[in-house]
Amino acid sequence: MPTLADILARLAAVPTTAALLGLAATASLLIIAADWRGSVLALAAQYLLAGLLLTRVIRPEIAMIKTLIGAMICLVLYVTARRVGWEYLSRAADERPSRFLLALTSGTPFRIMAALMALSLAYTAALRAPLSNVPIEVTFGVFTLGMMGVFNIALADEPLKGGMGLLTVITGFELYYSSIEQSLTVVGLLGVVNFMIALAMSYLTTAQATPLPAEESSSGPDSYQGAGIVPPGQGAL
Amino acid sequence: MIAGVFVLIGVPLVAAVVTFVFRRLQTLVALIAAAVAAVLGAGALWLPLGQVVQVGGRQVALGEPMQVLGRQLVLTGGDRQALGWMFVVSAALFLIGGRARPGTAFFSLGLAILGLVSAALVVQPFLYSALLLTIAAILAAILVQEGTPGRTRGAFRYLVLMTLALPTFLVAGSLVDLYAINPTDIGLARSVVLALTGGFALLLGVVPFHIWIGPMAEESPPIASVFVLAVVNSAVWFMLFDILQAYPWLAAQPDIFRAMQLVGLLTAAVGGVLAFSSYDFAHVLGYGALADYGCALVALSTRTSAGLGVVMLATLMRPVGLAILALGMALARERAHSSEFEKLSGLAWSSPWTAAALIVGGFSVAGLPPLAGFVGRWAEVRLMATAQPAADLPIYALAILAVTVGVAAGALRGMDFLLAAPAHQAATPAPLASLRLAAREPRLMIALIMAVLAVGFVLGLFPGIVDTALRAILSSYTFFSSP
Repeated sequence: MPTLADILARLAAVPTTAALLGLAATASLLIIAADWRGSVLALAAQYLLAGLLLTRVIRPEIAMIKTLIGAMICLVLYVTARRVGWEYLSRAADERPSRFLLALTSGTPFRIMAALMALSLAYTAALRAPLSNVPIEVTFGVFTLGMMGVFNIALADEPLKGGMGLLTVITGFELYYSSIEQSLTVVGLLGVVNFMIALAMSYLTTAQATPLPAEESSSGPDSYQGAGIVPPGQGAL
Repeated sequence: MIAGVFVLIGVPLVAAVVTFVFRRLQTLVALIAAAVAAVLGAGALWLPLGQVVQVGGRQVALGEPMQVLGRQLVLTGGDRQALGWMFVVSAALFLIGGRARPGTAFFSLGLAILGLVSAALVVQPFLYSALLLTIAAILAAILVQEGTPGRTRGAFRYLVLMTLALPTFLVAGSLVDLYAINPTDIGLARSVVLALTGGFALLLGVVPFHIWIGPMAEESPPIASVFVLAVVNSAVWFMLFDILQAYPWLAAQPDIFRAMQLVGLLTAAVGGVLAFSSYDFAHVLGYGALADYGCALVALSTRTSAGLGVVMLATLMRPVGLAILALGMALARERAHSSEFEKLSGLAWSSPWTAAALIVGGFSVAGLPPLAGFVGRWAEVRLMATAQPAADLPIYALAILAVTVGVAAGALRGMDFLLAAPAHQAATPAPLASLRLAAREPRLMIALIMAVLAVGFVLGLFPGIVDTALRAILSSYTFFSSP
């Protein structure tokens, strides 16, 4: 059975360019994806790839801890999204559009354009203002995640999607900050901040999916679907 | 011997857990939270800083430093006054919350935030303050969402903007260390100033980062809004003063204060205009506070001790007006299910105390005499009219007066609806609402409104009451008087 050191050594062998392309792809997917499963999966992959890039600037053990925190965050978001049936959050059951219509109405072409624009902005910024104390590939990673995250927040209309953008920004910042500050206390507190953001997002998402008092009084058991809540005892999958 | 900082941080956090366990018993939990906050506030304000005292058979040294994970926690004179004041204001809000029902977890979250804010103000260096304050702000995002399902715009925007401030402080923290090694590097100093300015702009909610204030005031329980606008926001102000005190070269950078003046004026103007165009008392509360932040920034930009004193005075007085208005809003929402002007038409005839709280609270937030808010606003106007050497400061005094008129006009428009003829009310096609309005206002709420109104008037008529506390805080911050 491979040891932790073996796993880290194998992961460190992944080419930096591949990790960077992967980060750009996952961050783009977070902007574009309308389905919660795709978004949570993209976020998990993003944490893994960011961890790989981090091994270039900090001790692999600390990079591993950050990746594990990311995995825990994804777990929290997965449970939350599954619970509230996020993709249909604001639509009543009879108003649910077809897949084709959903792709159009959620502005997928616009989101693709926005992701491409963020990517080009990040690329230009990384070339024109490279960060000191970090390798150029990490600079690309930082700007890509930062820009994509900000675009994601700006385009989001509810806490779960926007929160993923916020977590993307913080991940990008951590890529840079980990190379200049390696205190374990700071690493620990940043981990707490990340996890707290995930919990707050989870709380806000649940609160948003809960019907308003006026709606509650006028609706029966069917209102679970309309509010995007999975009825007790029924999974979303 | 127990270090005072340990008590100020540890006790609220433990009490937060206890109150969370018993959160369903709201009245009991409110009393516990208020008692804990009041005792800690009194202790922070009145226990001697440099001596060991006996408290409940144990020795407590308020000024004793403490080490946690290699970081030093020290309670300075200024922080002690600031924390004492924050605990006392929180105690009052917890007491009001016992009746105003701001959500089941308000008390436990409020206490946890107080513990974190205490830690943020006493820890050194400031990058840890930023981390702790961010965690407190994340909890505050949950606190403002409590009890209001369905709408999360305000809480989410607050969460995003407070979190985005963190990177700027962390970068500034490492740059400050570099600047200590290379004190001649002007570029480094500029980068620190830029990072800190951006960070504080986000945390203080100045224009254009004010987008959370309106939705939060509209969607969240009023007392929770006041907790964020008065207590959490004050912690940010005191963090700013602590940083200026710890790095006096920052206070000598004219760029910071020029930016502060511009942004402050813009924030005050936007707050005044938005409050003027309000259609809801929640907007008067939120945008009135925004205008107040702007006026405080303009006062601080004078780079004088008098300016600092005015900011402190405004910070001390702000919660009173906000609390009066929040009490009125809580009661209005309970009885009429809304705090919108139109839906409260004629309310003054059936609920005079609710209307009184809404009107007087609105005027106090605007800064009209003889209310608590007037003390801070008048001090700002006088400072601007007399401060030297800038010749254009009197124009700023006029601008602050205009802002006051804007917020007051918003409250006046609300008053116009509240005092509308009762016949208007009869036409309302909502029998349930009419029945509720016909019932008497709860006696406990009337008592609370009377008590807060009394505090508002007494502080407005006799502002000298806070003179000692104000001087004590001011004596701890010497960054404007040092050469």
